[in-house]
Amino acid sequence: MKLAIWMVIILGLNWGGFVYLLVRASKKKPLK
Amino acid sequence: MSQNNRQDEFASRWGFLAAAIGMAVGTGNIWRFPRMVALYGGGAYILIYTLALFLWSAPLLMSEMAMGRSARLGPIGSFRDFVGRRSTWMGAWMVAVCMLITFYYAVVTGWCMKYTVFAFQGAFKPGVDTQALWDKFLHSPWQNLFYQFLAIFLTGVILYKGIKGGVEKVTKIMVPALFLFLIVAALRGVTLHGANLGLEYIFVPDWSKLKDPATWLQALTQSAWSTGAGWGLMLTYSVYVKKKEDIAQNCFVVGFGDQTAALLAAMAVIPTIFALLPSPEAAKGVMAGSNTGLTFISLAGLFPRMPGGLVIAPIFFLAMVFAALTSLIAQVEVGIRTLMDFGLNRQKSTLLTTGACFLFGVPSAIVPGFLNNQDWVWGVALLISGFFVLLAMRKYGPERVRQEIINPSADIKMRRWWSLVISYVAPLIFIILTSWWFYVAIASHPKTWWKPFSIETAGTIIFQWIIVLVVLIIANNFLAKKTVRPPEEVES
Repeated sequence: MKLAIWMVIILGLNWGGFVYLLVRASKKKPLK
Repeated sequence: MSQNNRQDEFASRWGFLAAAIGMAVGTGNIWRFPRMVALYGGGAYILIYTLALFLWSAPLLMSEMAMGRSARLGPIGSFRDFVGRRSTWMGAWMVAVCMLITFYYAVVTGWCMKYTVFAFQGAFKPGVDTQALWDKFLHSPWQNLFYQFLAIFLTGVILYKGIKGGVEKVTKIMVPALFLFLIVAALRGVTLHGANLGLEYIFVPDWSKLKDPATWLQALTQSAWSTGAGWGLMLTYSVYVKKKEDIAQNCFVVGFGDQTAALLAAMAVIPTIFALLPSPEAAKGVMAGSNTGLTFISLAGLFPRMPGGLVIAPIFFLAMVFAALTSLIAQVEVGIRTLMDFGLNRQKSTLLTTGACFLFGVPSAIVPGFLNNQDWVWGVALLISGFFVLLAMRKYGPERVRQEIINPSADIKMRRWWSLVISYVAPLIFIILTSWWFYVAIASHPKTWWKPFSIETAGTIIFQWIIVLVVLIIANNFLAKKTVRPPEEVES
């Protein structure tokens, strides 16, 4: 249980952050 | 400005991100991060490592991107334009350190290639003596030279075709493939019988390790080295982005992408070691060893004992090759960009840089002790490069950089914390980390620390740094004069 909780916290923070930023980056086109 | 006359640049944001993530994710993510996590408190270490992204790595990456995107020149020209003509040598130091690392990193990339060939040949059979296999390869100069040449040749072919036609095309395939390989290897690792113990070593925090200064220092160092902050790589790639490309968002994507790859690698490596070795003590012994020992001896020996190991071994080593090669491409580009800023075209610059990389890498390819010495000396020097970037920001004004360069075209705007980190927190981290590395160097050789010709002493660091610094400071005015903006970038 302890392992599951910490996996969710750490992977959520890192992988979640990465996927969120990637999706956000793909939605905004850079200005020329 | 006609379309044909425009400087080569990334065609899309995804192309730039693929190249930049490939730059950051290197062999260190796969063979160093898992060892550090297991040794320094698992989750506690990862939390500090994540904090380091905000206090050192991401602010430095943003500073580099701000410099490269604005100056449209490599490190030498960027320092001249941002800090002043008299400080051009700082940019030259950044280029020199990056290239000195590149000389031996091509040899390391060659090792990964050789082990991929071994894996495809099925060389990791049950009972194979992987220590003897590694020793035999390491002491075969011709084999090392061949694979070093192959690594540089492939990198040269890609860079010869330019940013859009070479780097972007290749990294858009290699980086997703690298993540896919790591996911497959991690899935195999976490589904092994007995993988739970390894997973606990990665994720469950050992809070007692927070009292050990080494945990903090190793996490900060790993983040600084792993993201490529202070290497001049992000600065160089940023020369080729659109003039209003988002700085903060892209740098955070690169930072989090680097951490994602590192965590995947840890999930592939640590559960495998803990599940297949006879005891947790034996597993910890492997983790306390060396990067090459973990990868080329221990893991290579465990693949035959793992269900599906004959398939996982080529996938794992191919991931190492892709990680190393995409970083090597970025490193060699720093040299190419520098020569292009001196007025040479890309083709000539590529031939000269790759030729130099091969020639100056020969000692590392044939004498393992020389490679270890260079890794020791120039790895620590990267912290100095990072400090020079902080000085450049301080000279230009962190608030000015934030308000005039970073925020106007940003989706994610930086608040005042960014300037505070650049002005106070990051310089403090630099002082602590550099002092600590010198303390370690002196404490581990209390009687011989001053010796300039030993492999891992403080003396060899100081000796080699002084030689490079003196040469670059003497060449300062020449370098400042020689660096010119390409004609197509001169504003009319």
